[in-house]
This record gives sequence, C-alpha cells and structure tokens, in this order.
Amino acid sequence: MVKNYGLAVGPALEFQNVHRAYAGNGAVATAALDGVDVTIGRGELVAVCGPSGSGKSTLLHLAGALDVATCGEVLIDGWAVSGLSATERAGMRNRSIGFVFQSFNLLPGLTARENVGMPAVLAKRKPSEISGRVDELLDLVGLADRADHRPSQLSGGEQQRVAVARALILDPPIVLADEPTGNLDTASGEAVLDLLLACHDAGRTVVVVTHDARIAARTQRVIYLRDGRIAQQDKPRQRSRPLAAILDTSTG
Amino acid sequence: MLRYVLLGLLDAEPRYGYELKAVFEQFLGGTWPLNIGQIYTSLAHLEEEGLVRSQVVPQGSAPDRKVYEVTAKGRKALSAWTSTITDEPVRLRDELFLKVSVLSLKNGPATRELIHQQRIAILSRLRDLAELQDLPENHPATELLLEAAMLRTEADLKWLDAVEARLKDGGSDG
Repeated sequence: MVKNYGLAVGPALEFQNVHRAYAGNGAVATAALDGVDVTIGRGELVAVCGPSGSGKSTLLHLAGALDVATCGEVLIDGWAVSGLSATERAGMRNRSIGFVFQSFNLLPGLTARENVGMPAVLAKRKPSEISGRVDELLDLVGLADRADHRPSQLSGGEQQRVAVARALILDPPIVLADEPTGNLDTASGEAVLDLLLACHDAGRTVVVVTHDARIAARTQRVIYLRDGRIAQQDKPRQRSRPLAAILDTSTG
Repeated sequence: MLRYVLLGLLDAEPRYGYELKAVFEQFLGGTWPLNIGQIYTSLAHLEEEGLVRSQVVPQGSAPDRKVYEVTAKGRKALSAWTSTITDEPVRLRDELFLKVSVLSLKNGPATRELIHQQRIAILSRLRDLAELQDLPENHPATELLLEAAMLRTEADLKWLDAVEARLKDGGSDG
C-alpha cells in the first residue's frame, strides 16, 4: 500500500545554491559543496554518484540536517534548516528522516531489537507503542528470529538490515542512505537494496549515495557530483529497450 | 560458430526447423537475429557433413516435418568445440573507445563533454539491462548473457571515470 507521506505540498528536499566549506590548513577553506541547486520530489528514488571527495556525503548530511550549509538554504519536507537550533534540527530529523550508513552504526551493546527501537525511545514514544512496531520491522527485514542477537553476532548484511529497520522506526517520509552496500558482499547488498526499493514502493522519498552503477541503475534519477558541484543529472526514465536492441551475440 | 550452437540445442533435444529457430531465439533472448532460411541452410550443411541426421515425421493432415538429431560424429565435433579454450583478443573496436582516443589527442573540453553525455547513455543501457534481468520468463542462458552484459557495461562506466581522472591529472584541460 502506498502511503501519502507528508501533508505539505512541494518537494521532499530542496537545495538552493548550497555551499558547505570546511576550514582547511591555513586561511583557505575547502569547499565540499560549491553552489548546489537540486530539487527532489516526494516519492522520488534518486542516486547520488561521483568520485570520492566530490561532496556526495556532504550533500546527504545536509539533506538529513546532520550538517548545516555555510550559505544557501536546504529545505527538508518544506522546512528551512538554516536558523534552527541543534534541538530543532534533531526534532526535524526524527519527524522526517531515516538514515542508513555504510558502516551500519549500530550500538554494539544492544540487541537488534533494542537498536531498532532506540530512535523511538529517544523520541520518548510509549514503550507499548514501540515494541509492536519493532517486531513488525524486524519481520519486514527478515530478522524476526535474530531479534535478540547483538551486532557482533550478526553478519554485515544482517546488521545493515537492522539499520534499515531502525531508519524506519519513526516512519519517516524520507530515507537517506550513504553507501549502504559499500561494506557488503553482492548477495547481502542486493537484499539491502531490495529493502530500500521497498521503502520507495511504499511511497517514501529515497536518496542513495553510491559508487555502484548497478544500484544507480535501479533508481529513477542519478545526480552526478564533481568537485562539489552537480556535473550532470540524467533524464527521468524513458521507455526501456528490448534486449535485442542493446545486446548483440551474433558472430556474423 | 552458429553451427555449434545449433548442434548443442539439437543435442539437448531433437527438433524440426521452425522449432529449432524458436528455441534458438529464446536461448539467446533474441540477440542473434536469424531467419528460417539461415537455419535450414545450416542444417543442410550439418547433415551433409554427417553431424546431424533427419527423419521425416508424418503429421496427419498437416505437412510432414523433418526432425533433426545429432549423430555420434556431431556429438564429437560439439565436444571438441566446447572443450577448446577461448582466448580471443579483447575487442575494443566500438566507436566510443575510438572517439575518446581521438579526442585525447587534443584533451580539450570536448572530451569532458563526451564523457558526460556518454555516462548518461551507458547508465541508461545499464538500467534497461537491470530491468530485463527482472523478467520472469528469461531463459537461464539469457540470464548469463545479461550478467555478462551488465558487468561489461559497468566496466565501460569505470573506464570513463578513469579517463576523466587522467584528464584531470593532465591538467591542460580548461
């Protein structure tokens, strides 16, 4: 069932001439993002690609209000990030964003179930409300039988599936994933990708930073960054071609 | 090479001409277009060489069918072909490699532009392949072909990245 996420009209994410500079050695600041304008519509599935150091992760962190632009404006779910306090930004993240990281970022001392529920605990949801939802999500990611395992007792793929469940615990309209399959073997990566595609099918906006062309190929749109700028964006999906039009096995 | 593919298909199951054409197309996902005339010509050659033999099967009111099957000699020829190690030269004769090579002589903005446009085109091919991979009716052999096509397409993208990185290092580009 496709849910209608967010009552606000307008895009899920909007970058307006966004710059992000970090203090470098000496007086010169390094520009991680150098004037990015981009709009990501509600329910879109987008990949962000580009060489390392091109600003991909910076873009994702800004999109998730984990970081703040040096100048320009980021709008998340219609809300401007600049001028918000750290607490307000945390609130915005809880409301709107689910994050999935390359290195899973699970708390090692907690079980899978506790990790999934953690954002809801921090957001002060009622325990009775949380536990049912946690079970639902562990079931969704195929780990109902691993609920009481700690991260060290889980494979990389399983840990990332726990991380996806955790990202969904507060039912965010936007899911941001930073190289979610970067540390996984092909089969585990496929399973995680399928979960992210399912998030999109359920009506969420999904943005994936990846260097994996196969993942990019499964999204609707690819944004290429280079040197902190958008180098190009491909067009939305056209009608796909039959196999015979793209593959030739004849030996003539 | 067509003859060996046909031999292999007939070795799996004796077929008549039209059937063989249909199976051939399904096998390679239609990526090797053949007309029925080419099939019959190949079958005639194979029969002449004693690699296949045919038998006329009456079909009642419908026209009789000639069913082809592989002979012992044909099986031997097939096994000789399949057991020979393939070591062909790498084929980089498609236009893209030549275009980029020619542009690299000048290393100007045109190279960068080509790389950008080409990346989008290749990604779109990768998308089509990914979609085709999801089709439930694919023949297992077609799935293997799709896997090969995707890996090679990914390699093309990586190659463009490498070219771009070299241009950047070269630095003469404005």
